[in-house]
Amino acid sequence: MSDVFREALMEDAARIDVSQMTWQQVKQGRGRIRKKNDWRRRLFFYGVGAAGFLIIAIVASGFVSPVMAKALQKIPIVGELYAFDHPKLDQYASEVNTSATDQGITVSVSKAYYDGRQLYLIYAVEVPEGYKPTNLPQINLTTTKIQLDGEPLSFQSAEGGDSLISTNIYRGDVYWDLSSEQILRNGTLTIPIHQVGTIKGNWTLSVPVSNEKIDKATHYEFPQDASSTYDGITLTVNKINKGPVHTVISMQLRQQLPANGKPKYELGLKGMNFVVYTPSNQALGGEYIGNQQYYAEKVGNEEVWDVTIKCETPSENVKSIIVEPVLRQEAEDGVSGNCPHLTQLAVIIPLDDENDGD
Amino acid sequence: MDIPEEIIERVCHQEEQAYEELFRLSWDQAVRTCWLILRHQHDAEEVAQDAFLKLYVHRQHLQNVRAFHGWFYRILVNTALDKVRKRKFVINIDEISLSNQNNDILQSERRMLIDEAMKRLSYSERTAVVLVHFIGFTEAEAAKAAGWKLGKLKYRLNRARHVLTQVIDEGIKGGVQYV
Repeated sequence: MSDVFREALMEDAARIDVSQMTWQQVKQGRGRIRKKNDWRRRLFFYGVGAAGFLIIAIVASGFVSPVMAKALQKIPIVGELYAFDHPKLDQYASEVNTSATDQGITVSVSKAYYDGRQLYLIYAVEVPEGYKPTNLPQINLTTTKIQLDGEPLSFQSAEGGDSLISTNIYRGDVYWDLSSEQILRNGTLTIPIHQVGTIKGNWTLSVPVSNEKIDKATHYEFPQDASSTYDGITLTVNKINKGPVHTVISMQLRQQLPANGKPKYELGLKGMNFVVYTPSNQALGGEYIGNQQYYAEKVGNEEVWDVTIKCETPSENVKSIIVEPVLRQEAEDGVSGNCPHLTQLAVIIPLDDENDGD
Repeated sequence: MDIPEEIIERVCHQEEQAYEELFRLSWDQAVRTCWLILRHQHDAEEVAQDAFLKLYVHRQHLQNVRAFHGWFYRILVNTALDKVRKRKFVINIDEISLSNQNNDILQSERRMLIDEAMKRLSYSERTAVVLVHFIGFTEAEAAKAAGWKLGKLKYRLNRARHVLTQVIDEGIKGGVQYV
């Protein structure tokens, strides 16, 4: 563990004066809040009833207009079911509203983002009174055998989970990094769920997805002279897909192999990461995406590694972005030390002015 | 947070007094952990209270006493990140100055640097760096507590370290300008 970071965080955490509280106060405090709100309860239940009726009507119709979705986002709890926490992602996601009920449990998908390379879903699980939750997510969509237009959804990685947002509703989101060979403009996901928490049942959801809107807003660029060389390695950016939400950067690294001995740097997923940032040091992320070449390939007296990463698309006034390799350094016990950045290999990628909308 | 196993065992057996002791021993650390992620004291205390209430409701589900630490921080971190999700559509809380800054703190350039650096991190990156460097989890434990894959945790941790180092270095080299 690095002492510098620990010291900084300890110092940072020490700046607040934590209120002295006891467990009884916390418990009673919640009790008091409940009592105080008792008079509002009837009104609230009428409100919830009305909202519920509205949701049922919407779900039954199978459609939510963009205007309605925006209105729904402003309603507490209901709003969470209709919004991603990333505003741009949310803007380009489509309202779905498909649901299935079995064993008194309703599973629904309210929103989907699909750009051909990535898929994000928001789902909700409404459980009956007396439902016993598991400590894990109530449904695990990352291991569910999902189909896209009848074919198994092919992906590199997936992650997600859910948590309780009201007395009987769990809200979750899931992300899939799709394999690049499975790029469809439109399709229907079929999601068969056989277990919620510890309860077995059958919930099958059909979710239409389309990347047409995102595709139209995506610009493909082949930057010239976006390359740098340092210590025997050359990093070249060949192509970028600047989408409204994410930018995908395709690069190649080449390393001269010494006549004797091992190469100085380990190219490949185990040896390197990348970070992307703007000239004003705004971090944009930098994660591997799609099918990846795990190790560098030997070509003559060189190692060649083709790699694709994604980052957040910066705002329109940003004229360039910088991609920088980071060496992975593993220490013992799985604790990594400070990973050095190869700043000398940073490549500046100009962003096309045509995208500025001027 | 150093909680004797005996207390945790009694908590699992739903002993009220044990839960009070657990609360007393871990309240301060829980609030500070939330504050490091959320940067807002009222929210941090509210999230810590919610986490303790959730823990209280589900305490009988904890089977392995040794898993308590990870379980507790998983609830805490998820509750904090839920809070972020809820407030994101209302206001960017990071743009608000700390309400309890006193003059000493305002004069402390180093503390302001750290604050600035933390604000440049995403909530996920803060969570990663707090779990590993403040709580003292290994990367595998931190990934489990946050509910992420190890690679995701490493990536976020590395980003956080990079930003923290960069901001602090920048401040030391060039001085810091604050409005």
